[in-house]
Amino acid sequence: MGQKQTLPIDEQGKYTLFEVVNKPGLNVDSLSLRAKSFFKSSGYKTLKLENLQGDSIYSAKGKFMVTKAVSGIGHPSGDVDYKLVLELRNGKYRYKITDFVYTEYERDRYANFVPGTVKTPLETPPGKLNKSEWENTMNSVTIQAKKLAQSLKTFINNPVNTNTKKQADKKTEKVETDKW
Amino acid sequence: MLKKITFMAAMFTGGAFGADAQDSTATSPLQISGSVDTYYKYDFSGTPNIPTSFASDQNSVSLGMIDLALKKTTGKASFVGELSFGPRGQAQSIPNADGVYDETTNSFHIQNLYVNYAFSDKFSMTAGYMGTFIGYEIISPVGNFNYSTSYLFTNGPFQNAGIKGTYAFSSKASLMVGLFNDWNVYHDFNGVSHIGAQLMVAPVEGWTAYFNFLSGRSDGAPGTGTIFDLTTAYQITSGFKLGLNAADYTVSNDNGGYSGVALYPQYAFNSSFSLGLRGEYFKYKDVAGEEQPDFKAITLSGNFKSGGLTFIPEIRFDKSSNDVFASGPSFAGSPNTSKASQFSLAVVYAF
Repeated sequence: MGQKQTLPIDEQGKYTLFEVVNKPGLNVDSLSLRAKSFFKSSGYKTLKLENLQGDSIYSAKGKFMVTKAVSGIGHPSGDVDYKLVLELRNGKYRYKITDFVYTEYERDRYANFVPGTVKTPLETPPGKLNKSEWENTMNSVTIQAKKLAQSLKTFINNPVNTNTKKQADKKTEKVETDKW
Repeated sequence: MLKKITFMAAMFTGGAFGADAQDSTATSPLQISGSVDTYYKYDFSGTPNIPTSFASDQNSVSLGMIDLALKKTTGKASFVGELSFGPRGQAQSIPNADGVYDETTNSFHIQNLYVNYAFSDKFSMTAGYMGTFIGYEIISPVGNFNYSTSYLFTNGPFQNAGIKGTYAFSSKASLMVGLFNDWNVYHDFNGVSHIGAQLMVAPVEGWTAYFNFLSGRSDGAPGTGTIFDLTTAYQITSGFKLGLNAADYTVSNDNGGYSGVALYPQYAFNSSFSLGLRGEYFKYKDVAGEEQPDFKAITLSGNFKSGGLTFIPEIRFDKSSNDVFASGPSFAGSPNTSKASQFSLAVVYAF
């Protein structure tokens, strides 16, 4: 098994994935069009746009599932709420994924795993007894946050019609059966 | 009267935490979960005394059960199958694989075996054998804070077979209505005989309340049994949680029943240690003018958690209106008394 991954910490002591990306030649309007396409078509169903300031600041909230599994077999062990802030400028943009709050899942009477009632910021020290569990959660969140960031960059770095076409291509692959 | 009386440590490897590429999927991989538990109990009278479910063996390191649950979701359909093996999941629960209570032939116990179909985001139907929707405590030790159980749990239904529809008005309110077999049976010999309903409301974040109703005439019963039940829990602060269970059960034609209330204040000092109290008042209803006893019980439990392991030290004091408890081993000719107390240590591992 590879080394456990962890997120960087910002000036306020909060776990944050942050990056400034230069896109010379693209103005705010073009970037905004691509950002809207990301929020509409990225496939992150829990990601909901909460605030839009002008066409240059996007704020959204979403949820990562954390699964306790071996070889893909296991069960959900919790979820992590996060906030994604995307800011656009002429020729560049920056994103921040932060405000990670963990909700442990509990087993209910029907053998389903459902959110518990305690929400814990990821920055809360886990204590010695639960350090291993916390490290696994952090590893999972880091991987998923990086994947989300990569998806966001793919959308913004490519023209909208390309992104839309990629989505369409994913849905249906056509085959011509009259060829030899 | 229901016979639900009476718990190993565990060695199931935990596991790694997965990270899915997407945040939700219509088809989930097969889920496997479960638990194992074991306990030691000492009743201060020197003999097993308190007549609630599980943790029944005196001065013995005894077994609870191994519980294995499978769940699979494909599109809108899902199933859950959960079996348990061991005293807590066999003879001490009801019924066994043959559908009857019989310690000599008991094999395993079905905790849950049902199929669910979500017609929409708001409406779903479930059919099969399910953990009861009545009450605060459940058979699985993973779902309870205290290891010993309440009188309300022991005397209420454990499971209900049936078919039910649930409609969610919003995330804050839903209604379930269903038709059910007699309590705790796979096969209803007098036809589907019970109707049940549950109204769930979640007025504020962290507070959920369930108003439950179940009524019907069981096979061979002298009257129609009707139970009203309120089960609620409120996470008041990040550390403090308060739970409440109140129930009234009446069997028509003056055939008894019970009523009771239990309060569950719990405080988490950190993610590894919590303390919880259960205070309960329980009264059997008089039958044909014959007075039945009541019970008051206080149970203090600690929960030490490390990963999937929970260690539960617990002390419990019970008092009855009648002399129903033994003051010592029956072979010593000890007189009965109105008080009982016990100490237990339990280990539960959930995976």
